[in-house]
Amino acid sequence: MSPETYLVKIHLNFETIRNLEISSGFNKIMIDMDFFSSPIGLGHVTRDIAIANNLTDISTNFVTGEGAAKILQNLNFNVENVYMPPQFIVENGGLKNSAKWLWSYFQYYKDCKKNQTKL
Amino acid sequence: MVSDEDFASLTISQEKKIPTVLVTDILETRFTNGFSSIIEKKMNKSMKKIIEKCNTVIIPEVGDNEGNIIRVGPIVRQTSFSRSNLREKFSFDKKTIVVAIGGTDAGLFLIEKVLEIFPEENEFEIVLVAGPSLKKNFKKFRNLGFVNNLHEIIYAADLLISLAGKSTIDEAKEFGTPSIFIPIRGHFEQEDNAKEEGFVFEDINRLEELIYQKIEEKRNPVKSSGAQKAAKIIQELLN
Repeated sequence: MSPETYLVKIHLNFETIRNLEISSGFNKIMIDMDFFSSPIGLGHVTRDIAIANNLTDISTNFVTGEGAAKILQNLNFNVENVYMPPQFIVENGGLKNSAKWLWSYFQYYKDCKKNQTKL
Repeated sequence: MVSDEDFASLTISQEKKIPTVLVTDILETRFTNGFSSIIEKKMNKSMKKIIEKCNTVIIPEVGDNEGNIIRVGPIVRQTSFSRSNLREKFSFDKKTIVVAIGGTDAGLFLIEKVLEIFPEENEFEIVLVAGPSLKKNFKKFRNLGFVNNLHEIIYAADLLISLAGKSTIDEAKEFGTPSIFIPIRGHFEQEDNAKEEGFVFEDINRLEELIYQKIEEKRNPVKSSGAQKAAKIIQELLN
């Protein structure tokens, strides 16, 4: 292969790669997804992070609260820190007033609905 | 819209005809007895209706799929570090027992029990992960407080003592760390999770014996791919 032919071949390869890059750039569409993660405990948000880490070309916006929101903020995820869930009352390792907790959860559920309508 | 046990967002989205995916490890609750359980049953009925309306329900356990329910296996965060790198990073030199109580102060009893067993420095390094809610000061032992990477700390540990939250159990199994899971008494979900791993609340009374037994166990990692499978399901729905 003559040096001229060799240079032309390199140039063509470069153009092909550049065109591919440009076209893939045009085709790449970032999809927005809202991920509402329960802030009752940290287990929900940790598994949701595991899922989000496996998504491609999706921009994940988390909606949660308290410790869960703090983890997401620390890991640079987009997060709306808006939830304040009721706390379990635990004495000596035993759950107390579970009926009261359930009632508080129902109120929390209604507040969350209001919040989300605004969001 | 994807929800992890946030039922308010599912209700709003379903009213607006937005496609919904639910990630959950419970399909009903059992918190109450007696009169209150009548109200809980009604709440469960509403929850069931919401679940049925979801496009897909992802459950992080192994089992058969049915209707809109897909069981993907445990959903666990991964790490790019080796165990020895992590031990070095966290300065885990001796045999290390990590005591983790999650996001609330509900597990204070567990920390207090461990401190009762080991009131002074001993052959083990005891590391507390007290979480974001517990403000109490534990002078004698290292307290990492609130962490973003409990999965890496679990991987680096020689033994984990924890409440029986599903995600913590899944992380311990993924990395093969011998563990003791003590549920909150009366918390149906934690009691079910612990039972599956062979523990009950009363095991707190023989915690010392369990610690010496479990810390000698061989590590047995059980690799899962629930996170990849769940992401694929969501990705396909969006595309």
